[in-house]
Amino acid sequence: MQSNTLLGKLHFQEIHHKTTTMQTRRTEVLIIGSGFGAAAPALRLSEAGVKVLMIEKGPNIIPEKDFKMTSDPKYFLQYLKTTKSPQFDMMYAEGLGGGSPFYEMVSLRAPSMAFDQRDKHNKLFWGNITRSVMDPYYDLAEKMLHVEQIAEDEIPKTGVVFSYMMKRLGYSCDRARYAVQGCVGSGYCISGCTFGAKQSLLVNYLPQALASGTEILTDIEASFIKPIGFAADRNTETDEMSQIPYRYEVLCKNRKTNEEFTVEAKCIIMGGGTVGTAALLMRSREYLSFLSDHVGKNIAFNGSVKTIGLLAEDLPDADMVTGRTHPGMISYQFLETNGITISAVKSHPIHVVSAARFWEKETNDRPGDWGEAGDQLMKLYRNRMFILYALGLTPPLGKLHLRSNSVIEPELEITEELRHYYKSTKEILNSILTRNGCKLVNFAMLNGEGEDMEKIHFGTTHMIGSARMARNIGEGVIDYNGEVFNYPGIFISDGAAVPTSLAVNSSLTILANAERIASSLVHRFGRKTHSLPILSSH
Amino acid sequence: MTATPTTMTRRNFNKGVLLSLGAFIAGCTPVKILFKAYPDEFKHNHSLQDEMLRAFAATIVPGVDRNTPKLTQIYYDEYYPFASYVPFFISDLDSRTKKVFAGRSFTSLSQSDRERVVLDAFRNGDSIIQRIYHGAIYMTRLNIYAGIYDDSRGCPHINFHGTSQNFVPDQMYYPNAKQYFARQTSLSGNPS
Repeated sequence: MQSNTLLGKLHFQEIHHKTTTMQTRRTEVLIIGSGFGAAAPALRLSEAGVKVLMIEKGPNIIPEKDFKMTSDPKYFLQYLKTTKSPQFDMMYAEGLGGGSPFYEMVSLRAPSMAFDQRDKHNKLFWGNITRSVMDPYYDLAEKMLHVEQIAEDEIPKTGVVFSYMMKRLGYSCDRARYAVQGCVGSGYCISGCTFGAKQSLLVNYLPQALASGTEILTDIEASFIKPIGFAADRNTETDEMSQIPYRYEVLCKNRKTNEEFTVEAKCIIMGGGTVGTAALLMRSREYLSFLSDHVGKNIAFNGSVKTIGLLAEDLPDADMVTGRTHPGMISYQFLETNGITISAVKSHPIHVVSAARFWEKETNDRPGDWGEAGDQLMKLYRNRMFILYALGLTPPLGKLHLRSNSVIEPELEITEELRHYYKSTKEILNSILTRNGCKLVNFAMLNGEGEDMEKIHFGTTHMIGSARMARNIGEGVIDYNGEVFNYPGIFISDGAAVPTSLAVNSSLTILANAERIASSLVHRFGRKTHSLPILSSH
Repeated sequence: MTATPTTMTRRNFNKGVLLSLGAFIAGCTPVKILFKAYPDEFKHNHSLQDEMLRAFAATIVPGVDRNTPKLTQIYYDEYYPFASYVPFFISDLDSRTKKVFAGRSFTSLSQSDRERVVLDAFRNGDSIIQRIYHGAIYMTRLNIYAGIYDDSRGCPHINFHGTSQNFVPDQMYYPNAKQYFARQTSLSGNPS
């Protein structure tokens, strides 16, 4: 196989120049986005001989040039965007490769019980898709990302301490799995790995898709989707790509030059992420008036709950900064009983200080989060402060509202069910710390201006389901093959399609589901048959 | 006693309006900010600004050396909205100090007295004042603890080394980690 990195580098540089000279164009398949949900269909369809154009709203990223080991907020804010409300905020990435250059590399399969979740009518959210149905696609995704379980001698100290705490309570704790090769433990995973160890999409799917014929344009935003011709014409009976008409046009804007142009496509695959895909559909509603009412609703968010403590004297030192960003260990102890997984947080000061203020006790009638008391606490931050967090199978209650073409706001009603989840999960986390002799530390999550957020607040990078898969248009936006109800030829293959919380990081499931949808697309539209790794092996 | 009749001349009327407006400006934080209604020295005297901001940074993070390079850079960084509030913030810090400590200057106070001044802003300031002080504390902590303007330096004060120091495994991992491991539920690391 050719060198992915070199291949990627050459092509990505080429892409950069093409964006300034584009004209109105046609393609068989337009893929919107370049993250976990978009990369798999791009690769599989182009391998199958389909003409694919991929557009990415964010900038081109050349790892060797653009990644930095830094704590500079400006660097992060260049790629990472947040949409927030008092109870709920979602962070997502804009850039080539979507969130993959900036995630923690944790790559876990969702537990069986995630696929067994039922709605209020006792129907399975995932339909006939079970963990065993997904496993071959997980296999494929893991192979592409070189996912491996962390070696025993590479577990960061924080992970070892976490495992020891669980051991002392008689609980289980497992070594987690990561998309990385040759990790040097710099601790700068989420600023983009400058050592080329992280297996982001920039070193596998995207360069391979380019090599197979996919054309990728960066800094291109899709403004809206509009059907071409009559509905009856779009609903073709053939899957022979050459006979399918150009069914949709997408108004695109070059964000660097403000130049607008139109792409006409036979099929559109939406892979711009849970926020991006929902926003585009909402902006397009004027033209796609028969879309499901569920667009922008049913957002699942893996209900992240955190707690902070100071390690007991008889526990060894943790280390917030050395070793990979994720601490290497995860506990499934409370998965069956409470629907949660638990891990520790390893985080550089920038991420902790920007996200929360914390204090051990009140001094002078105020929380000691700054001044002498706050400073003493920060001196314990690296080795003795310990943060636990849980991810859970919380219900899909989040919503998105389009306030203008460019402003989208989330909403989450803190129901009694969520309140109970938050409280019981927090009690479990606190109990793990206190029964290990640790002292709890008070904390408040902060908004971007240093002010406290609501006490029960869910922040996530794992949002999924804003255009979920379902049996029919009354329950969701797309069918289980990813096709949008009432709009044949428009598919959604990203996090927006995933209907439930997963209780683990969502990236691998989004990718595996995208592989599953891509597999069905290749069956329908592919011209070559060699690119069916799942079906040929199962 | 009978009320003395007053004659409202045009001059008196204008004077009254101006006085009211002046009182309004002096008392209302947004208007003070909008009209830059604070002494000129806080707008133009950069050494005074720098001295006060260093004292403020040391109030929030007492262990920091006031002479640390780039200690005040974040307050002036126009990427962040706080930059436009710096003169107002300093003037408020100064007037608050004079009110609480009878004419003394913020930079001359002890650590605990400077903390009292900041606390006074939260207890007696309006919502805008509180917001500005929240922002100032937030930025101070970000700047110092995360070392955002010097990646290679990090923050020695909290033993954060900044960019990777090419640690060897013995520094990053426990050599005998396995003895600390809890029971594992899967061979692969995936949940069932």
